[in-house]
Amino acid sequence: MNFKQQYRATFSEIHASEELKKKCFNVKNKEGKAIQLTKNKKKVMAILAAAALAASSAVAVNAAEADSGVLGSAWKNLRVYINGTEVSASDYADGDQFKITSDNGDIVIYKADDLPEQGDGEDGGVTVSVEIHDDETHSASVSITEEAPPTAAQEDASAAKS
Amino acid sequence: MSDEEFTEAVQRYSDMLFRIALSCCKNRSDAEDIVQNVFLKLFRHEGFFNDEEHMKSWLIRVAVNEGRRYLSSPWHRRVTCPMDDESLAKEGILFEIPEQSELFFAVRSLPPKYRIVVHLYYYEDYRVGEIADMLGVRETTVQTQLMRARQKLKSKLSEADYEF
Repeated sequence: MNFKQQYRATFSEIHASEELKKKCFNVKNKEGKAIQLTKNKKKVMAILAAAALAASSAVAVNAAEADSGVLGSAWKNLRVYINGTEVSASDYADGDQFKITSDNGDIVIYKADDLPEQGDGEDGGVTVSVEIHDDETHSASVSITEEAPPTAAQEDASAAKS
Repeated sequence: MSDEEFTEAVQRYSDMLFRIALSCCKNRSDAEDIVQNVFLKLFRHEGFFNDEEHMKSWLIRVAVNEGRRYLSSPWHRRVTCPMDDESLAKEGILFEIPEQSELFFAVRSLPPKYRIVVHLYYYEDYRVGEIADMLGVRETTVQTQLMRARQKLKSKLSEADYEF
């Protein structure tokens, strides 16, 4: 059997969706200026999940196997819960900022507008901010803005050194 | 680039770019994001293309670079997304012929840098030298990657007895 022929036959079955083409056609506004394309909402969820994972040193959350907090075996299946209630990806939009904190083992996600007053409800937990940039690269960054409290093991190690 | 030219480019190259993007990443959604970024860059591109082939190779190069950036992004490494029959079916990728399914998964099992080279060589029909130019690597690198990819594929597709 000829590999090239079979390869071409196989990958000929894969096509870009009409929805994708439609998005690509519309990369400019009425003035002809390039505009940001609609970011994949699922990716927003993945970014949130990544942030949650970054904050999860003290929380048992694993994107691959998690059964609490952030769920799913793949990012496309990730679910995000706020105070125990699942929220939809459509609740988020490009440019939104989020704060994710760990609170008694739960991942709590705040939309920027809904953030509690400083010091309110944040009891020294891990705080992660997620910025979803609306630039030409659709890049997203996850950064830990406050240091996580040391784990018991780290404290033990530090005490041993001193 | 005029609106007509841009529309024509989207129509003509969406499938090609989507397949290349899928070679770089783990799922359809990420591949779609890569394709969108490529066309956004095309729209913003102010240079000229000498001919159709020039534009095509430019698009491929941008897609590969976008794919590389995707692969190196920290959050992509944190999340796994297995590509099995079930997940592919959910994403609208289905193969009715078992040999095609087997070949697809064998290729998917290769490292991304091998997948891209294999795709450009076997599907887009580029020569080794052209692929090296597009990827910004030496010809010997492409030859080596192709050779190793074939070895790996042979071990996975041994029953099919393919001629490479």
